[in-house]
Amino acid sequence: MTTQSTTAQPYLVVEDLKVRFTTEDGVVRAVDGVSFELPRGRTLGIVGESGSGKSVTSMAVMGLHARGKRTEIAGKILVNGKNIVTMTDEETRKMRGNDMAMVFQDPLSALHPFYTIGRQITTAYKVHHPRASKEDARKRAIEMLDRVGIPEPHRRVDQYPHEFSGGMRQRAMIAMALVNNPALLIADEPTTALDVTVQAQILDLLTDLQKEFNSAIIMITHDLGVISQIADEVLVMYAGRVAEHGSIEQVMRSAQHPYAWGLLESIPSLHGDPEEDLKPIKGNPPSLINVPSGCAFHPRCPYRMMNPGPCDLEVPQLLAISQPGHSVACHLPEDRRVAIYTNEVSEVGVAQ
Amino acid sequence: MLRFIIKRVLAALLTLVAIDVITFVMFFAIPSSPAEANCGKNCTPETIARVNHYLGVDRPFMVQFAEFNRGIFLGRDVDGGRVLNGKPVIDHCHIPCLGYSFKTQEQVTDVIGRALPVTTSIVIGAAVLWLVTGVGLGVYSALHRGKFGDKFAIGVSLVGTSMPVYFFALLLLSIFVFSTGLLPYPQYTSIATNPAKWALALILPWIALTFVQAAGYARYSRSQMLETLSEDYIRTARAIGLPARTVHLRHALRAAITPVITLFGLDLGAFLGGVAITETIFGMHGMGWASVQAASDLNLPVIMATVLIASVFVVIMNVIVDVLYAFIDPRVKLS
Amino acid sequence: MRRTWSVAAIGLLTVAVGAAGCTKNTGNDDTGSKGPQNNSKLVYVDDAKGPAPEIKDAKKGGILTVLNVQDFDHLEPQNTYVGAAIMVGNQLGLRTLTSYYEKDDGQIELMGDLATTTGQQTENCKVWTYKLRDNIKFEDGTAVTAKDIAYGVSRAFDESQADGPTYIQRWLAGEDFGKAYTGPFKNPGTIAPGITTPDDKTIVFTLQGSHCDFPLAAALPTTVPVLAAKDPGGGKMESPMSTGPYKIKSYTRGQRLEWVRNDNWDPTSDPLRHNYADGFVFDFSQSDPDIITKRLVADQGADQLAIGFPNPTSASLPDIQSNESAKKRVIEGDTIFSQIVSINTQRVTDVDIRRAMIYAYNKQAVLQIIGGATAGTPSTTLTPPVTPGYKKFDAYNVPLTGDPDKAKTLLQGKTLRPFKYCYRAGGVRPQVAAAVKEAFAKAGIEIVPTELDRTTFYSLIGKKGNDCDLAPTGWGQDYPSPTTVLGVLASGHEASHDGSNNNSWLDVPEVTSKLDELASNPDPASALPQYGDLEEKIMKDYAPWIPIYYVHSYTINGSKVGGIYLSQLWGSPSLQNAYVIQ
Repeated sequence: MTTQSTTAQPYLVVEDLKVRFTTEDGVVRAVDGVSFELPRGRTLGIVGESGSGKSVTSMAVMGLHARGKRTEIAGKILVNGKNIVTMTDEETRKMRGNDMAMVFQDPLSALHPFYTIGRQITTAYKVHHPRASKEDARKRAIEMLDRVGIPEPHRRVDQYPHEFSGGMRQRAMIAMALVNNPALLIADEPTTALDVTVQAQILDLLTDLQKEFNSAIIMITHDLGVISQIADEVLVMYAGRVAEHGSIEQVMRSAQHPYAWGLLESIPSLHGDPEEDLKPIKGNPPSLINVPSGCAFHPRCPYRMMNPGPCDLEVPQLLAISQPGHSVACHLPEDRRVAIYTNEVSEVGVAQ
Repeated sequence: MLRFIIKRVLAALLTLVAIDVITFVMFFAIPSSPAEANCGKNCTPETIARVNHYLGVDRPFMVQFAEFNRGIFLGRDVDGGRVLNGKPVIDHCHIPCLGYSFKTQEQVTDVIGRALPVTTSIVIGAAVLWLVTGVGLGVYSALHRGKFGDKFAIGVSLVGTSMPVYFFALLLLSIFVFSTGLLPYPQYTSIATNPAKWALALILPWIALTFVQAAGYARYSRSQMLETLSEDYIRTARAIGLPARTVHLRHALRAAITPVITLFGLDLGAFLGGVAITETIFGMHGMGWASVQAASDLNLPVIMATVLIASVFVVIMNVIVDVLYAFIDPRVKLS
Repeated sequence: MRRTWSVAAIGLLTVAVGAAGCTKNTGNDDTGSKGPQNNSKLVYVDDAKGPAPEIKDAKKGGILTVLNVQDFDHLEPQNTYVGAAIMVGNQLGLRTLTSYYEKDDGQIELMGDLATTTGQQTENCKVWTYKLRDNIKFEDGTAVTAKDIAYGVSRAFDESQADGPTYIQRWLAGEDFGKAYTGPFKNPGTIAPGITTPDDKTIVFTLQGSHCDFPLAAALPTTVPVLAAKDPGGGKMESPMSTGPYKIKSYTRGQRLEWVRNDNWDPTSDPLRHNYADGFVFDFSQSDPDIITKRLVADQGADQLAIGFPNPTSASLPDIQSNESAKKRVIEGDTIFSQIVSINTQRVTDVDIRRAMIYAYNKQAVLQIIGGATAGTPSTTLTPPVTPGYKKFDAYNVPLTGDPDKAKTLLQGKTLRPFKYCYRAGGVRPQVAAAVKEAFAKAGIEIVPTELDRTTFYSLIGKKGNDCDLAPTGWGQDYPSPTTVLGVLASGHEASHDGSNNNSWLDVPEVTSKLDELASNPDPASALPQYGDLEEKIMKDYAPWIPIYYVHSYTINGSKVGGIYLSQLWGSPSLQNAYVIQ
């Protein structure tokens, strides 16, 4: 983990971001008041189950939500000081792929099946370098493929995505995302579709590239194992809200939110007893149309405090706790949380 | 790629041979006596025997089949039992010889030679129109999903798909010809003779076919386009900052149109065999009209020829579609 | 002749379009034609001279279009037997020895056409002599001689010409004429037995028996002259050479036939024809009669110059009847064609059962199915009013809807087997069969409707000993004489062989001998009333058929077409006096 840029100016500032979709069934509060900052050179991991709002948040940062009658975005997203939320579509388009880029989960479906890898990378390059010649763009594409560790880039540049292996495809995807040297890279579950050894290679590659380009990375995943390998900070999201936010050390070693505990318990440990059952989080993620009252996690929370309240009545605020930089949104008293974590959760063990 | 094409063409040739055999067997097996059907009032057994000999149906099946196919590629001499100036007249049936029409005694090739340009004119013209309008409408609808334009286009295409072509064709005639006289009743003229008259005569058939066909194409390309627009690679295209236009027209359309082109190729193949209803209503003597007439006259040589030619079109278009698909979609394995 | 005629040789299915009536539309008379159905009289005119009398208001110029749903099967003269094809050929270019002139009052005049007279007979109608008119030329300028007519009649003997009329061949060489002489193609340089040409202008026919109808048969296209040197052979003559006012300029089979003025036609040589229009175009591209009707009703642009040949179906009749202008442009009338149900008298041998069938039949129901009054007029006779020899009678006085009770009375005490009702596939004939079945059931008669193939129907029911009990058939005269109606359908000679048109298989010696006697009467006119009496007697005594209706023709023309009337001889709108209204 690097700590070199902790003092740098945040490249990305998200403040009280709210994203709502109007559907026929009702209003979906996909993201409901999320705030965070990310300076260049640092990696923010966003974890949560599907539907927790992590992907919506990243799409909002990319300006990929079509704003209109059905989609409402409020709050602030400052990228390099410019507010994505209030920009025109054309302005965000010009930033997309240039200032911020994205790597997607399944590189096979995320790459156009009919175009060669080279063509897709040159397209990404030329859209922001309109004056670049065909040859320059191609040279750049080969250079990028080489950089992301694709052997024989001269030959492979003319191949189609289906001719690449999964890991190679993801490398190509990363090459495409980084072709314009973006300061912010969002990786949405970039390793989920890959097998474990390849996963590690891709994560290493991202780390290397981050060092080289000093970029800010948002790593979206449901896998705390991945987070622990790459992130500096972690944002745990639940039902469109931030449940816990802290450094990787803080969240992995002294998580404070029952939901985060649940996530930690569901990770297989390299040290723990392989025979021991992993504890999945009981229940299903909530509907974002009818978010449970109070703390959205309370129906699934084994430690909830009710009769009377406050878990089912009041929405817990994201509050800083004694450790600096660590905040949590939970009604449980801090000492109780520490006690529960120490006694119950850490026993289960985490991949470390 | 070349090997792939050769393989497909060889497979198509095999299919054609099979069709040739099946068609021949089918018509050979029909429990009808064309000689008797066409012999009539003063019919004697001798006349029937003579006619059967003339038609060649008194020879063994294999001989007839070989003769028929030899005629297609080499032409053949036919002894029609005709005598002129005391000498028997041998008619030469020129290449490609498909026999003689029972009805008009002309070579079937000539009948087809007249009908084919008519059908081709109708179908190719209409096909271009229906592809462009259908896909255009479908893409427009998909990109404006849920908006008024989309709903309107869906409504129109619903009418189009549910309206039988004969009804729409008659409607066109009564609007443009019968009531207003804006257009003359279509009178097919060869494009070589007079391109303007050719086009004038074909306007209504084109519109009729286009309306009915474009409706289906609009619906199909709309759903293909919507499906494609939800693909991950479209999100990627947007994420790299491509303008919406490029995303839609280069990335989405390219993928969405591929199945549409397949359908188009197969439709074209089927339609080139004849569009009987359209041809009949507009008085165009194309392949469809010819086959309907031949069927009602029990004119076997013409029926066989129209069936064979229609199959050839279907097979050829299948090969073209396959090869084209291989060009469009690099994932197609060329083996 | 059969209205829908299925005749010999390969690929030659002739379809008579329309039918003849006795009404006349004289040029610009825009009230349409609803003339009375009077008994037409045939008159022989032996002093006819060209040119033909001018038609009032007719002017030269313009091209008329004939719209028809189907091409003629062919125009090869000696092989033509379909009313419309004979008529078009004769009126536009293929002149015959004699021809008819249909007068405004319904009277038909037979006159010399290529010949100066209707013919000189000697030896009790056995020898017929014709002199040719002056200045008759083929379209290429070659003068027409007696030899060209002799050659034309001779080529009718070739087996390729089996579709055409056979009267003259039979009269010259006997019933087995095809064996006696096989025609000039197989025997180059010969002519048929019994024909001599003493000089270029004279042709003499020596018949084997007495045939006083010869001048009528000479009006059939058997006598069209053909230039031997330019004869392409049997079955190959697509565009025969004209001797009339128009010649064929182009012919695309199944699509378009174009006639233009023939400069080698001399009007003074022709007592019958005009050439007002610059030409005639036959457009066969539209095969749906209803669309043709709609075009003619709409009367737009070029269609104002169009003549409709097909009868509209009931689907497009309302288009005409709801349009005042269209109604005025209708040409209609009854035709020479009569529709009957032939009862096989050799299978249904009990005359009372046949009578019961006549009582049981519901004409009204059937007429409704075929399209009502514009399609047919209910009949009580075989011979239609327009055929000479017609006598108005009603042998059984059956109401239009039938009289099942009367039928039951006749059937009392009889055990009936189910009867096979054979009909030709296509059209509304299955519905008609169902209606007949229902009507017969009311009288306690069971019939089994059996559909026969369209193309082989007439040859199947014409087979001696076939197992059909009942068969709906149509018939019309070949020329205006009852010899070609009652003389065929009631003659025992016809009941002796396959290919018969006597579909009732009526074989009564006294009837046959009476018909023979009437046919050889040297004064055909005096024999006419006896035909009517004979038919009434046949109907009363033998009940061999159920008269249903006389076929009605109903066609429509564009508003700029003048001079069209319904030809009662050929059953189509006549082109003889046609001109463009300018």
